[in-house]
Amino acid sequence: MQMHIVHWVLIAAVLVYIGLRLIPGKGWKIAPAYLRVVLLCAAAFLTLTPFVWLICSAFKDKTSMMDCMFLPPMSQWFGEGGKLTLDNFRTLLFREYNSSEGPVYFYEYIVNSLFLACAITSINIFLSSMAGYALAKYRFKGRNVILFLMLGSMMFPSMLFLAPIFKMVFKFGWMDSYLALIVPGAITVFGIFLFRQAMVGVPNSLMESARVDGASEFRIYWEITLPLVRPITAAFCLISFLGTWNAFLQPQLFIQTQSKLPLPVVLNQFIGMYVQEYGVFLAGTLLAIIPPAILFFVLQKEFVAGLTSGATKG
Amino acid sequence: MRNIYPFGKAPFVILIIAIVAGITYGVMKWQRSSAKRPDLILVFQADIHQKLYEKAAKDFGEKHNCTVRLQRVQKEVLMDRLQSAMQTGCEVPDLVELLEGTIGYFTRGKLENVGLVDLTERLKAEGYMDPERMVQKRYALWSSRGHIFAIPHDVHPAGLCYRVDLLEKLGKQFGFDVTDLTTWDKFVEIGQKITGEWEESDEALGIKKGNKRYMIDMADDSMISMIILLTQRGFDLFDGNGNVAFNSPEAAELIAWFVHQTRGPKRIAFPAGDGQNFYQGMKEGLDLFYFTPDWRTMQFTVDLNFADDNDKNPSILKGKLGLIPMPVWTDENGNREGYQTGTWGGSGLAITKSSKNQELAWEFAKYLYLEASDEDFANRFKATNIVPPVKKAWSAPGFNDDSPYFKQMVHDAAGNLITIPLSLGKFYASQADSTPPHFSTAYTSQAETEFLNVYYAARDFYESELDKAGKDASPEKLKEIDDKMLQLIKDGLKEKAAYIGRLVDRNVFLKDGVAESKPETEAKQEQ
Amino acid sequence: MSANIKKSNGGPDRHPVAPWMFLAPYLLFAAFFFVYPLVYAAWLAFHQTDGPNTAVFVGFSNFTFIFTDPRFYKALSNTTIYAIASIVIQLPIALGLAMLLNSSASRMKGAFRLMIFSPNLVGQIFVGAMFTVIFTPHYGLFNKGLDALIGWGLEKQWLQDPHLLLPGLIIISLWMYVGYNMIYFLAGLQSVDKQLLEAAQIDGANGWQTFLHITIPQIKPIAIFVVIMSTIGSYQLFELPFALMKGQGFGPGDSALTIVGYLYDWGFRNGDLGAAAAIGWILAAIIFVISILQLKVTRAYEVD
Repeated sequence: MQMHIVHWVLIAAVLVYIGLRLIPGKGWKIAPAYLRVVLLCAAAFLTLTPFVWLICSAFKDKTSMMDCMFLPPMSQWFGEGGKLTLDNFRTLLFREYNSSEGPVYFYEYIVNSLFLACAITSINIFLSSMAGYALAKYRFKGRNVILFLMLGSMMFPSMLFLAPIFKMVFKFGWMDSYLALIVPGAITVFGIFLFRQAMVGVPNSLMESARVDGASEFRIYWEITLPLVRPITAAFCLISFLGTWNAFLQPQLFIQTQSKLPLPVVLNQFIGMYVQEYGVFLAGTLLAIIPPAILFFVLQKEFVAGLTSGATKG
Repeated sequence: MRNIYPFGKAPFVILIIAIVAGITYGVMKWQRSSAKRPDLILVFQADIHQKLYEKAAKDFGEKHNCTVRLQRVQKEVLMDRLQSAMQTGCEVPDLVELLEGTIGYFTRGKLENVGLVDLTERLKAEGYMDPERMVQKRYALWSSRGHIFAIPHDVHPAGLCYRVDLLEKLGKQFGFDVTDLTTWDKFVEIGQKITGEWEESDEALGIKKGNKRYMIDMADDSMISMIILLTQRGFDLFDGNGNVAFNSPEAAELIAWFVHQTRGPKRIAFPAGDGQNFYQGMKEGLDLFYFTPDWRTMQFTVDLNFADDNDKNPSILKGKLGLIPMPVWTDENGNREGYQTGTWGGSGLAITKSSKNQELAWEFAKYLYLEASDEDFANRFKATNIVPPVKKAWSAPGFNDDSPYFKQMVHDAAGNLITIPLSLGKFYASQADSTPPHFSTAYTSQAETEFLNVYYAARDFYESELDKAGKDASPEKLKEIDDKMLQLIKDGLKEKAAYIGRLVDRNVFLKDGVAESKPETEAKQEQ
Repeated sequence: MSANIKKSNGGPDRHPVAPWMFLAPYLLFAAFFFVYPLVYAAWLAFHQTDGPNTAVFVGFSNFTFIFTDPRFYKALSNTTIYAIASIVIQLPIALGLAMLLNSSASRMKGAFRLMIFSPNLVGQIFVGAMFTVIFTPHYGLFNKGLDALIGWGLEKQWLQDPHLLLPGLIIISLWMYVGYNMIYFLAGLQSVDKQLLEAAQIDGANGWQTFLHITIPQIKPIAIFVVIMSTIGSYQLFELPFALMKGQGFGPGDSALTIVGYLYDWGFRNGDLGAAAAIGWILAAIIFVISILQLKVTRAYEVD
């Protein structure tokens, strides 16, 4: 086994740790913190390596792709026999894919995915928060029954519904239409519970004073309660967007025409089609994971809060 | 108290994007649908067909005054989508070029519910069932229960491709030459001598000392290689009626043979994978021989940038590849058993029932596959290296020209081994009539999985027994292991054949035309 | 809405109509996309179909076939092994990372949390697509990395060897989900009563003892939640193996076949939606039984 740079780094880390432990007083105290950082760095390194590799591979030239793992030595980057290239992206974005209805370009898939993810998320926020509001702020006969029904519906795996919903979509004539994706995805019980949890925390006094002022119930919901749960809304935005953006099975089954496909389905096609051209295929993957990454970056705090609030309810 | 983002920035942005994307999408869709639908839509899968079919589509369109559009789709996409579209009444193309093995998928229900047009009567009436005109065995791949649903595009006999420079070197080193490799017994014998590691590095040849060296590339995670060998031997997974046919002693022997070549001390094979890894292995001399049907020669040519007019760098392998026919199976007396070659892949053209221009589609299908001019056949061959089943194409001028990139090693008048160019047309066309039939049914993929399972069980058994026996196992012990493994395989095949038979029987929609499966069905050998 | 005419009414209790109006979309939705499909699936399970527009009554034949099908048991065993590995391997690592992160400075915490969680953003299909290349023998990132680190594994065919496929899947899912579970554990750790921890330290307990007797009991609710969610999620694994196998079959020897994969194969490759519905019900039953068992087991521990 040859000594690799990784081995040297590990040995150095261990030596530093031992060294710190040996220093009495301050060194000894820092050692655990230092160890923590090292372990976390190792975890982060392992987690991020595939991404780094992905980014590098998307820019590598087809014929020399396997010559180096990440990036070639700097001298070989540009110019004659340059190993770095935008060709993969060029091919991806400009190569026509001749489908049933004429040429289809890659950007169309991006538009499809954006539309589906955003439309479903918007509708979902609206409808789920409404239901969550009702369950949070009202006491009425049948409330517990409905809660029970919702909990029960979460117990069933979504796959159970796949075959019957497929038949239903066919019967309704929604085959090959976005309705087949939007309508069944319009409300999620998880969203309802999330909003309920958040809205329970909104003080009833606000609502009372609004009622005294003569506001309609809907206005109370829309203008008072919903804005107050902004963080949860943001969290749910991300959760719903991610879920729809990455959804594969339903679009795969329900959408027939090529130009309507969202990115996951298209990428699955790429695996077979561009299997000789890893570069193009990885460039496509890279493009496909950028929007969710941006959204997550912006919303991460709310996201974490939202996830865990669902958990503490149990 | 009104702030511009009452619900937070994020939902607002998302809503805006939804609206914008929705509008864009609507515009794109409107642009699409306002275009007039052409008279014929042809869907195909292999990108090397693209330019050829474009020309043919244009010519045909002019001749018959109609519009023909081409679309390229992928295998998995085609299978899932087309069947689903045909069954749910969504829009389907008129002509579909299917890939090998998929006919079973489309014919899994009642014959009258198959979404493709039954072409048997037409082909008969127009004289395409004449063996002088067409390679008859090829129809097997496109038929179900005796009905033909697609016109075959190709025959795909397979040869073995090798690197001339490496084989020259090894030939001198081990005292043989490629012309000796005529039977599998001889091939294995020489393979065992050669398999090992490269003894020294040679930069010009791309090899490094210590790198592994195997005789042949055989896939062990799919049935590709085993089907080639099994069909070459004269057997198949299913018969023409969709009955299970792999529970035979010969199939068992093949699996046992395969285990010996892929594992154990006498191993000669390593799977080279696909894509970039495959070519890297070829550059480094990982495997010496590769199963190469006619289409693969073009795949190599394209992937390795052999053509001169490419501004991309040609690979170091240019001009270094050669072909030999596959070694054949022989019985104890040295007579050939089975066919000259095996088969891998294939395309066929089918017409969909819901096409509004079936007659026109049939004319185009004939124009594309069966009735092209000599010049067209020759050009197509030059562009794809694929030998059509239409025999008159084999004598088209230009068809038998020497390939600029592939070689063969022969003995000259003085008995020396020399390297001369090879005519791909002659090489493959001469084997076309001895290419075995291969049937496909709705249960082919499951049968392949089960067949592979038997192989895996045998392989695991073999490896663990060898470990137990240790390095100095006696020949008697080795024979004992082999016998036990063979029995294991036979039992496994029997069990799996029964299982697949059960699947076939279970299908209530398949009952017409399929005789009740008998688990003990013996495979019949065809010549 | 008639509700807005009310004046100075008492409180939320006095609006019998309003909640139902808010809930109306959900109720409509549930009727169409929950209750009806459930019943329909039950009906379908006793039929055999060839695509969505044919159906033939076959009684219990779907169920008898599935329960005597070795392929079903292979799927079951694959899925179960995967689920167990997810719990036994992934969760301790997630907990460990959460503990490391818990005691870090907040800025680093945010950065590391983001980094370790990032694989979860990428959908299973995209991850599968990436790993078809990462796991190639001889030349792939993973094998080369293993070889550099411990000098083993260059030739391992993670995606072609039937014995390595499931471990490969487990590795990928570890990469994808450890961050997700870590976030839950982090939230749980933050709710651990600090006073208890200090009291323990004063009493002279060392790190390991504090962990065992104080931390673990306190995070139990979250841990149970994570275990159950992880199990349910594992049993529904489908897209990752599907993408890894490039949509062609389920690995050599069905080694990447999961229960949902089996369902997809029957429903949408063989066209038998009846069998798919039957498998769906069997899956629901399995998940139900396992969840009940898990709750019983964890409740038993809670007695102390």
